[in-house]
Amino acid sequence: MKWLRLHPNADALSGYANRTLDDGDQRSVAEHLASCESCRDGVMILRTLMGSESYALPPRVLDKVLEARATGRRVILPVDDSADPRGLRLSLWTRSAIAAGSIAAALLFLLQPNQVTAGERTGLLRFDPPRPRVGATLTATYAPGALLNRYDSLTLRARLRRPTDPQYNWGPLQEVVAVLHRGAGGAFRATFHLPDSVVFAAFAVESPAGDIVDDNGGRLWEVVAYDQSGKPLFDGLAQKIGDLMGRNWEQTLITARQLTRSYPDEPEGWSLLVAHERWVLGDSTADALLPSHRRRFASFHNAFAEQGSLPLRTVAGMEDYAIQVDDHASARYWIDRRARDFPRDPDVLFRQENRLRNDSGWVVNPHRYFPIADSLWARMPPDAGETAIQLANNGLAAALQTGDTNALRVWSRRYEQVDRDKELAARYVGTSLAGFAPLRAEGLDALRRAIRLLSDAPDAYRPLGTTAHAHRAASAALEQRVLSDLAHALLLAGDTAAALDTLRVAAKKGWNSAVFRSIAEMWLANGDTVQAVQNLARVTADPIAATELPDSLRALEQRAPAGAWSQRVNAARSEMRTAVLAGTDPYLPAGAPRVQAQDGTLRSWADLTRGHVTVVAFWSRNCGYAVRDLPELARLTDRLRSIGVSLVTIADEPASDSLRAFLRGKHLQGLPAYGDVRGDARRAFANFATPQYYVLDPAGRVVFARSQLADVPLQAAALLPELP
Amino acid sequence: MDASPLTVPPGPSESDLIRDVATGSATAIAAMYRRHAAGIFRVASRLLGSASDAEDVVQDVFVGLPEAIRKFDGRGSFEGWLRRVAARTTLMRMRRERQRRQVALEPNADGVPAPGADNIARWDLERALRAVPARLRAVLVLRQLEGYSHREIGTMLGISSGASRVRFSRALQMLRRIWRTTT
Repeated sequence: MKWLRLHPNADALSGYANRTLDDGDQRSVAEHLASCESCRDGVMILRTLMGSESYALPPRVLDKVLEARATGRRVILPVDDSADPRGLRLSLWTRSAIAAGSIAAALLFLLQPNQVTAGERTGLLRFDPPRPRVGATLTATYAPGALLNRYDSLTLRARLRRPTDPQYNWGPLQEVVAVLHRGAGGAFRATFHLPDSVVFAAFAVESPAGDIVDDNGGRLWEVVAYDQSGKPLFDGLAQKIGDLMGRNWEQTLITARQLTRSYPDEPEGWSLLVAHERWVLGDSTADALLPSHRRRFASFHNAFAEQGSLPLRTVAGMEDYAIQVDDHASARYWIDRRARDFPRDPDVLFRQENRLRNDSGWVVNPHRYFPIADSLWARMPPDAGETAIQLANNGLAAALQTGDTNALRVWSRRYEQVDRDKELAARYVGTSLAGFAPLRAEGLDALRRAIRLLSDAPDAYRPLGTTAHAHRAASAALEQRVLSDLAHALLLAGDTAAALDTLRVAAKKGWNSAVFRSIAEMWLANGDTVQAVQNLARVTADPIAATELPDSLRALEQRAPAGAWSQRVNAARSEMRTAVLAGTDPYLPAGAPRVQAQDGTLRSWADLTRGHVTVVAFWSRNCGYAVRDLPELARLTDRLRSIGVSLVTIADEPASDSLRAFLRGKHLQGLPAYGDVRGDARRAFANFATPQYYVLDPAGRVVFARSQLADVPLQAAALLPELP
Repeated sequence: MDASPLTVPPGPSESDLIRDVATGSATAIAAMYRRHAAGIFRVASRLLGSASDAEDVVQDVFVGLPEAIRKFDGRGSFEGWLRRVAARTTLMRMRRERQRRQVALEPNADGVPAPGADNIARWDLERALRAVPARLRAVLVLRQLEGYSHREIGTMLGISSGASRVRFSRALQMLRRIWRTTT
């Protein structure tokens, strides 16, 4: 190697500085350095960097580490074992360590059952082959955390997705794919077949009874199908995005990026990426990225527009990409081309239905709408999936808008037929039809169908991260609401006795202030004040519901003898606590995050939550559902405060002028809004979606996770030691 | 249940220490911390250009170690494994910070010690290093200070080994230029 004329490259200078070159090269570089000041600087810089001692570790870091561990904080580190093609491999000492750790953790659990942390539920699940092709046989190997290590067999549940499956995870999508049996070394194993049609699957492991679930800290375990060349299938990644929607938005963006890296010439991948950039990163970042998308779209357009024959995916992708980059002229071209080249494509048919509505979504001409919509429905292919649901939903909405009973009958049947969530579809149809006297009997039937389904609580509807008990409780809560719908429909039909009986059945399904209030009102209307007072006491046990009593019930409350009334309310409160807290399994968040107040100061988690019941709401201004809930949260703030419960709302971004302006624009300055500075809060709760609600007890433990907003006030009230 | 008895190790050998850390023993975590924290902090500081962020990385690494260490399969050096995990943790943090487009702190605003009389040149160099863009600085630090090959760096950063070479060269050029113009 001679460096007399040419400069040595950086690696050669580094080798010289480290004295790792062989003698000849060391000499050559030295000769060059004698006449080259620039390279001498380079070597001096490299040697100086290596010798630096200026980074003294600050004191007390170790104390903070031990303190964090003691309070249950856990951090998932990026340990790269994905490169290991043989899947899970545990050495003898590691297995011993896991087993010993599991025993210790199990003992800890038995001694302190209310101090469970997420880490004790989470084990390691690996699949072999890690990159399967469609139809492959997979071997799952699972090393359990402490809580699942006590069983001889475990259940592997999955959500298996096909290319036409819709986004989000509503409906009966889950199934048991294998039973894992304990093998040599303590790990659990099972082999199962991945159906040919499946391109993506998400997994969770649970105890045989489904009472302990390991969902990998909320992230699940995932498998994408690969092609022969070792590339992930386009449909596999697209389905992964659909599965992640609503449960982990950051990962949807990462997967969309992977999709464009793997398929750079597919416009559909880019259209997905630009959409997720806007949803996940926010408008300002998405706007900054838009010019490069526009350039790429223009290049695609020039290349594809001239080609005579293109596959549907390319044409549909170009249409979506044009819309995402706001190129209206090109979008028009691709919409028209899709309609011309693929006239039976479900989206093309649905677009024709949309043209029968005005900008507000109202049907312009009912006489014209229904014949055309019927013809579009007849042309919908059987595998139209989500588009068929949207068309049926629009048809039913049009029938409700016009009050056309024949159309109501036809489109409600179609809607129930195609909607994958049969429980909710039957409820929607039932409550819709019950409002129309000629269709009331059919509405009642639909409501009864919904109740039967909810009563069965099919396991296919159980989300992968939900225990069987929690699923039954959620189904019972929903069944209770549908029973209440049925009671009101029966009342409309003039059958008061049946309505009252139905409400009493509903009351047995769980604590529900609205149901008790309906019963109280109905007894009062029937002149039975004793029964009315009994149910009114139950309403009053819920301090939030107690503030919303109608005058008729408030007058009844005032007429009741003070001592007896107080006794009834106290008994009802005790009953309420028992009912609401049944089956809860409190755990500590994984750590003690700091969040940022709107004035920029950092607040410790203990400051915000310890010593009182706290409702924690995760939201994002990029999430329509979360933004929709904000006014209700603002209304709840004072009412919760009045009973000693505090509300902490956490945005998925640091506090900023822009965030403050957003809240001001929505008149939400009074909302206790904090920023998640480094994503610490999100990690502590393993929360990857918005809106999500948690209710914490005064010790800071999560008692209710991922609650419905409507349930939050009662859950908070149940945790109060002494109700005011 | 197929489990070994939980025993107290007789001495602080590395394999004993690893096993005890896996059980969450505070004593073992403290011993492991004393062995490796300073090196992790130094590299994290240089990668992140911020002592407080580097402190957070050290905290994260040792808080998460008992769970992560179960994935160490006993092949190769434990120190090498730990340093790779720490480097990846730091790089993840760098990516997050980049995504948030946070404004870089003023040089020396974040806890890097002021120079003594004998190390002004080194201090200037550290300031210059923090002015090098993160994507170049990462390669420079991982290559020169941590001794990773370009292939390993490529894997960690999601780039090719050729790109790692180019970045290393550009990083050194830029560092030289910045250092020249500021001293």
